[in-house]
Amino acid sequence: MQRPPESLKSFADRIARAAASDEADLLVRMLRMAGLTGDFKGHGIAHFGADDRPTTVFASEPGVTPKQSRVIGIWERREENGTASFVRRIDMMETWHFWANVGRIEAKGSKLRVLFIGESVARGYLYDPSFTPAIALQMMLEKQYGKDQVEVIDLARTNLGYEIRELSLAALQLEPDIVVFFAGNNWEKKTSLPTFNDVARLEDAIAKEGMAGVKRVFDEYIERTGRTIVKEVLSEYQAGGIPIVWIIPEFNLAEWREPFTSAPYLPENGNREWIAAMKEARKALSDGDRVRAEQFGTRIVELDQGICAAGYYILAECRRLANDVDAQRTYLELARDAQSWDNSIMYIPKNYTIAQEVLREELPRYGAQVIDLPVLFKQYLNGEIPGNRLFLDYCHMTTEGIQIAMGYAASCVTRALKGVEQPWHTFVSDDVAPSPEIEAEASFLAAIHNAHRYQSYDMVHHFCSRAVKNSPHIADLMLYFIDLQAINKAPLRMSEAELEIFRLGSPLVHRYLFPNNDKRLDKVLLTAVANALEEAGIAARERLERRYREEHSTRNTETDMLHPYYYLSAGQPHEYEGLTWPLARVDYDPRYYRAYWPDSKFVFVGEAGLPVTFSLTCRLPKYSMDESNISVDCNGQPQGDLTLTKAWSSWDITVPGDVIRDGVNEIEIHWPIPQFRTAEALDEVITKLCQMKYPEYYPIYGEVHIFTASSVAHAAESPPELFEVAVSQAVA
Amino acid sequence: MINHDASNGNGNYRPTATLSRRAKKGQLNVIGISAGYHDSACTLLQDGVLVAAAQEERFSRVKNDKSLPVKAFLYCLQEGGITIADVDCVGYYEDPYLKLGRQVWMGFMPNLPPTRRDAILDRLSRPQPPQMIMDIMGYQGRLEVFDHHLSHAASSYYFSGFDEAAILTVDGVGDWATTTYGFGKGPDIQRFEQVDFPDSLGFFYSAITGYLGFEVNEGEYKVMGLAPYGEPEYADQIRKLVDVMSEGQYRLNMKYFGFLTEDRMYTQELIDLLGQPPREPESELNQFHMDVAKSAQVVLEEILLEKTQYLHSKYPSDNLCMAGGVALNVVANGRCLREGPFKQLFVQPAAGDAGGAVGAAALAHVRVTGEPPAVKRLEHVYFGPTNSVSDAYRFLKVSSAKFEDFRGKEDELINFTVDRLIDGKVVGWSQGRMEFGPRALGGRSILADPRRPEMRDRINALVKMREAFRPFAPAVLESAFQDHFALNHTSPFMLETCDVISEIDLPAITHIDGSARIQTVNGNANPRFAKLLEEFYRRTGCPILLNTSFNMRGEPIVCTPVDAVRCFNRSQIDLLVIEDFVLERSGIPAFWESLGHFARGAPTDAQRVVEHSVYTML
Ligand SMILES: [Fe+2]
Repeated sequence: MQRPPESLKSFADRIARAAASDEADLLVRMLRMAGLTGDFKGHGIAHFGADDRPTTVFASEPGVTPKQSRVIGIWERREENGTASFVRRIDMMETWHFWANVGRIEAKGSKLRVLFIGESVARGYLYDPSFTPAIALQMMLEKQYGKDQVEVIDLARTNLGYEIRELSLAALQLEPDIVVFFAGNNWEKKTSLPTFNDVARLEDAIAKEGMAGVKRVFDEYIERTGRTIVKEVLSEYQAGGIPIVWIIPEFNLAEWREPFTSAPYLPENGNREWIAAMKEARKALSDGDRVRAEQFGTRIVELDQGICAAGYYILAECRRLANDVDAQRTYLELARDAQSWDNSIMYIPKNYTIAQEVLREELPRYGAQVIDLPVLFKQYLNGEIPGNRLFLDYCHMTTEGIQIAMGYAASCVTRALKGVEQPWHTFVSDDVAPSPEIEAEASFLAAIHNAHRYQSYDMVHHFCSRAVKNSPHIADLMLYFIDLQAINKAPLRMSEAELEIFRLGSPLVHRYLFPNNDKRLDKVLLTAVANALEEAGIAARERLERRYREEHSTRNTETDMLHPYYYLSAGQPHEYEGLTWPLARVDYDPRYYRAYWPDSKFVFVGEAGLPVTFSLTCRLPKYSMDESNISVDCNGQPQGDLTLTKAWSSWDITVPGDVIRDGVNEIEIHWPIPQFRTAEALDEVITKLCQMKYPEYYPIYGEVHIFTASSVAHAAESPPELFEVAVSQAVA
Repeated sequence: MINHDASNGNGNYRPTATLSRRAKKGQLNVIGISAGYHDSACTLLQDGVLVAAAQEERFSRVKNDKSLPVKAFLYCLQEGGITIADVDCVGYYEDPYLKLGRQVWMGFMPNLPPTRRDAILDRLSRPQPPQMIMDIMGYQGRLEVFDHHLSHAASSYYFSGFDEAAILTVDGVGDWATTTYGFGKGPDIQRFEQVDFPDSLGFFYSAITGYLGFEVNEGEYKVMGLAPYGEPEYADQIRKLVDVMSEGQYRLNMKYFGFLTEDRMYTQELIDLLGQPPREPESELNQFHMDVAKSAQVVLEEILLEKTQYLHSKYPSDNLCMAGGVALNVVANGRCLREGPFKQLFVQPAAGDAGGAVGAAALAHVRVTGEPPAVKRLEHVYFGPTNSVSDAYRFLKVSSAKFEDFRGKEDELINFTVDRLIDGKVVGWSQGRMEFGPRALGGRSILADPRRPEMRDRINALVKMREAFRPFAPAVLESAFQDHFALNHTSPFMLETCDVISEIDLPAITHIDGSARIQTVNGNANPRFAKLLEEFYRRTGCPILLNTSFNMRGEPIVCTPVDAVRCFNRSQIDLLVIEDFVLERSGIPAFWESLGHFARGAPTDAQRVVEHSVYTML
């Protein structure tokens, strides 16, 4: 038969019409997921068993057991004169920069071979390739074994997750004398599309435990997957008679802060109380009332069942004020672990307690030596909580942190292979470090990295200052960086400023800054850069102010405050991530702004005295009231109310010039707090998972389609001359 | 208006903020949307006037982007000076459930591979576009859904300037129909006959396209371009592919077509019939391929001619409107007009599915008002975003590229550009608003001297990297075209082919059969482009420039000045003119290349990208 019978056309139409009825598409989707529509594979909804490991990184040859793989990461086996070496694959050039910059791994010779496997923390992120943990370990071991007597094979890969299994098993072919693992930061919740089992499990958990059940399901996944992999890798190495060292990573508990989110849907209208308690706790802290803050903090954590970071941070701060370091640390760890379930914001690698516990339990069973950095750093810091001294960001370490970790690694290697006890600090010396220029660049890169991950002014400023103190050459580069970010008219690669940075920076800057940077107003970062430079006696503030004014003043242009360029400086990461579709989200998501907190902030660059007219199109969301007022503030001053419904409406708001200040201004919308229909909303989560839509776990308070700011109609005098000073002439 | 008085805390009153509901602009704002198949697009009809139309690919930079046109929608709102709150009606260009019925029917094919059956189930379980327009775009007002071919018909008829006309639409497939016969009269469009899937002239031509090693759903125009090199040696064999039947009907002989079950348009039987294996993509083209192309073209023309005669017999009018992907086959259209019974032909320039957005908007306008939209004959297609001179200046000023500034010196700019064209330079030309539809017509074009024999190869090497057999198209001054081309009416949309009769030798734009696909240019629609042609004419006696679209192979046509500079950088074009500014190749820093591999490209989202080995009818 060359075509289906004509007589079936009407019936086909009938099926299609049935599919048009309410929820028919969902029915078909659920039947497919459940495997009730016949043999089905592919399209992302495969049926995994309990060990549904995701693999995203190409760590070994697909379709072959890793131990037989011709491929180890980016290197491929090549046989010459009876020996096999591994040569870097040209066709994987796109991913070379995730790995050590090594063209060829030779066949095992007479040198002592130390295999070093890990994640970006083991890569030496932000120092690599100028300085890496593997380089440090090599230098330390050479002192013990002599030059050319030892080789550290660096298989650390940025973003290595559960693929550590394939990579480690494939790497057995390199015949190591000992292996050092440095991993545990990238063991996260499942990120692939949910299977039938996942959805069913989540539905059951939500029904029984609410959102706490969601966290439990994801934590169990992390625990189960991590343990399975660790067991398999360790048993293979043990069977091969290869001594094992494993470094358990630590986290920047003292300074790193998870981006703020409100609470997801809580039972019995808990969200309303959660919001009120959060506002009270913040106010109490700023009033210096620790006891009151602690009461509210405790209530917050009760309400959200410990699945949000924000309450724990309040409690940690209270304990800090009480000089109770141990409790402070505990709360900071809980804050770090709290949102392991949450895919609404950028994933930050971290050593979840559950992953640490898996390692502490399993490693001794395979005779492995454990370098427990959480414990060792605590000793090193005399009980203090680790912070920016040892870390550049959340998990990547400073030179000092690397020296300690590698000192212990060298000590373990020596113990295992020579039977010699030699304390870690004897391996550390001043020469096991990058140059001051590299240290300065890495610090500045850390400042950018942290700022672009929503960290505080203090943290960003710390790394800017550290950069300037390390090497004066960084100052010019930082000045051009102000231009690079503040001048938004040319894309990065085409801008004069980036060309100057290219000329000034080392390969380190080329490597990290150019591919990772985005143009942003960067209020926090550029202010920190300017202040750090001023503190070192270098004029920068005026330059920043001038750039902001010339490039962004509402006098000359209409500012689209929902554009990420501006919106990223509004201090509302959750809304930003909702607006820009991180990878976890799929194609059916709303493409307009949704407020995840009752107050929405937006920024623009104004001029004192110059009125600004805002154009706002917004509505109340699905689960809000049918009609309600919202109020608008500008720079903290009330400007009036608007009456909204669930239909879009457009408004012109003119704010008088005396409310506006020079530089970055803020306009804020206060949304009504609705009755929270938790049961309905969480039921919709399951529906959305079935439909492969993004599951919305969080209440939404308002929706904005357009929000712009302009003074063009108010600028009495003609606009100032267009910016004429070429960037290259601007650095005095 | 609400006036809000606030005190500053000292009891002193300060100037108050004003908050007011924004007045709606336009009485009736109608949005048209096409999406989900090929080249999604959005358009705005404001009080019946077409004010904005653009394909999503130009914003997303994903070639043929088929995802919901979210960015194009925002552009349309901005261009119309309105917000989503002011949209009165959205017209969607096809009925998703009719389409779904056709897809389900395909599932009744015996021995269907599981992946195919699965894809159909997947379709049944996905939210349909009207729902997505609400979910993704946030639109919550009136939404009208129209039949796919009705949208095609409307996209042509309502913009033709005719107050009555016969209408023929022909494409691959939309919902069920693949070919429709009807007519328009005043505000109404009627259809009296249709041919249903899987019988499709579009698929017939695409099968040959695939067999000849070109991309299906994209490379059809290459087959048309290849045809003049061949002889219709295989016409008899190819006639076996289609049984032409009475009235408007025809039937594909499905043993030659694989698209119902395979990931290939044609079957082994077609290969046996033609006697040679299919051409590997990118491989050498030989006489056989040219002969097959010619044969397919001839067969298509024969059928279309016969069916237009039939249409005329049922609706005897002087006027014919055409749309649908097959209507982009200008050679066939030309023959239908020359040899057929109709005296006037209007083809929607965006004849493919992108144009469905325009048709759906017009239909929604008619449904809301009962009146046809207020359009005379479509005069231009500059419905996309415009270049802002000040933004272009500010961008170039802070870029590390060198440029020359001709603001306020248009004559000098024209002279300078003409000098370079005469010197044999290839010029990227980005001026004013971007075109809607597949053709660049002087808004986002690459221009060159058509008299130079080397130009064809040169531009192919510099930017297009395409098969060298196809000539480029000429843009010619409307006031002088009849001295050079055998055509008795204007062709503003590059939708006519005709014989080159010029005394000037025009190797770069003349096809092997002595024809050219021309665009006539006048000063009303595009003043600066007309000026450039006039000056080139004055200096050389040739009122013609080679005109091809401003894009690299596999990329959408450039939209913004930044896109233009990016394309200029990556190609080897000699000169770039953006509004009043000129960049030369020597002014581009080497740095831009040196970090090329760090440059993040367009997203490669599987949902957006269009498949080219077979029409993905799902
Ligand atoms: Fe179509």
